[in-house]
Amino acid sequence: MAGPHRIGHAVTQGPNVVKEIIYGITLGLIAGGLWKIHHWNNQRRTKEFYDLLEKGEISTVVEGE
Amino acid sequence: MENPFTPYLGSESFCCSSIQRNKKLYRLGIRYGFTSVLYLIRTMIFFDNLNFLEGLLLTIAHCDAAEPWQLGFQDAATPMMQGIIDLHHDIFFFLILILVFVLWILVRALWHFHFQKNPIPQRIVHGTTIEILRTIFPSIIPMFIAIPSFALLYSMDEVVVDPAITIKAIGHQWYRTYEYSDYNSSDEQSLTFDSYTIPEDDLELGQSRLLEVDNRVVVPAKTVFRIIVTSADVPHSWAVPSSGVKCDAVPGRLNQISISVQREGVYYGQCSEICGTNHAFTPIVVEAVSGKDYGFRVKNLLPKNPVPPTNPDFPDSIPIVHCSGESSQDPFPFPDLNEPAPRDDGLPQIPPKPAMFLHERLPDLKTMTDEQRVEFWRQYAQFMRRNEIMELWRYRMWERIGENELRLWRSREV
Repeated sequence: MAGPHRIGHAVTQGPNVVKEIIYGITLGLIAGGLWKIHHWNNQRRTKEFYDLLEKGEISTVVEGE
Repeated sequence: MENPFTPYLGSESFCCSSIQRNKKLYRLGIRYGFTSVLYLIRTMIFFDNLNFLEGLLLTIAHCDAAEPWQLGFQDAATPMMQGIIDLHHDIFFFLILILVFVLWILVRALWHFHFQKNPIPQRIVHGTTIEILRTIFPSIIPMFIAIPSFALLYSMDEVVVDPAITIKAIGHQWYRTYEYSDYNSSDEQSLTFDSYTIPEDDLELGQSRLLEVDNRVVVPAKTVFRIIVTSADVPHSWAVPSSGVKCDAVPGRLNQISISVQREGVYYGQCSEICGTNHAFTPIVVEAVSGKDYGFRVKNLLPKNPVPPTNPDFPDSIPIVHCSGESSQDPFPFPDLNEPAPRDDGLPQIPPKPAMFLHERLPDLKTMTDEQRVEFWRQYAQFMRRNEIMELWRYRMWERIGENELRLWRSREV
């Protein structure tokens, strides 16, 4: 007769919830940071444009021939 | 210094020149492979433009008019629109943060608890700590959003005490009327003109479909002015995205908005409240000019010949305007509502209903002889404005005026 069969339960550590949350927030902050860099670049370009426009170095009007 | 911002008149784009150049480089790189890889690496290292992201996304609009496949905002021309864009960017930061976080947690949950890796699911009913945390932290985020949002909202609602000029924008079906009332005394007629869309058949090279009009609203740049918006029939909406303006035109109500356009240019908008069959064909075009050009432009809008002569061969209701070149004078003026005929019974005057449509103001052509009719169109057609041409076509006037006359008029050979 065969020995009693033992059903092996898979024993896993499982994910560490706190670590996963921290990883998720970090990734979110990195992605948000990239967006913020894009936003600051846009602001810098806009400011440069209007500064040049104010100085008269550029113009939005095509010069008449 | 090399101008990095290529100027355009009609569709100003100021932030886009270098972006467009970089996008072209990226697009070329797709074809040539190696160049695009180098370019991607370069932008990723220096983070100066992040154009590699923009190159991957759909076309981003960089003009003062709607673009095909547009994804983002149009370039801001007023501080109000710049504030709207900045607020959008602030909120989008939180959106990206939450989106990436939620996606990460979702993907990790699917990864860790896959049925092959984790055949026996856990029976978790509640977790007090995590429930408290996931209630408090999300409620803090709207606080960070609300602060800039309310600041912008209240700054947009501020009423300008002393605007330089006031323009009235009156919505009709399906055109707009603009009035400049600041340049006349109380008993004079104010400067008024209609603004009709230019039909597709009449567009010139470089003009935009469904966006161009025959008479633009001319405003001074870098000046705070006020627009009073109303409607003569059904609700419309006066919207110019570049200026961050959208104001409902409600019949019987005057809505006011203050604008300060920061750069010269031409800004396009469209009617934004369903108003009938031609709702999509009533655009708005605002042309911001320098202060010194503004006076010249407004002066040119004034009518040259206020009293046109009358041809005795035709009824008095058809004055023929004899002037050289294109005239802005309407040969079919509306009846003067300010001076109605006196009544004998002493009751108050009822102003006559003005003829709103061209076919109501035309003479009865069917009673004329053929020669008279041809002569009428010969004289009238050259002064016919685009808006009237459109009116005739829209209201299917050809059965009234006859095929031959219409052909003569269309060909403009007379």
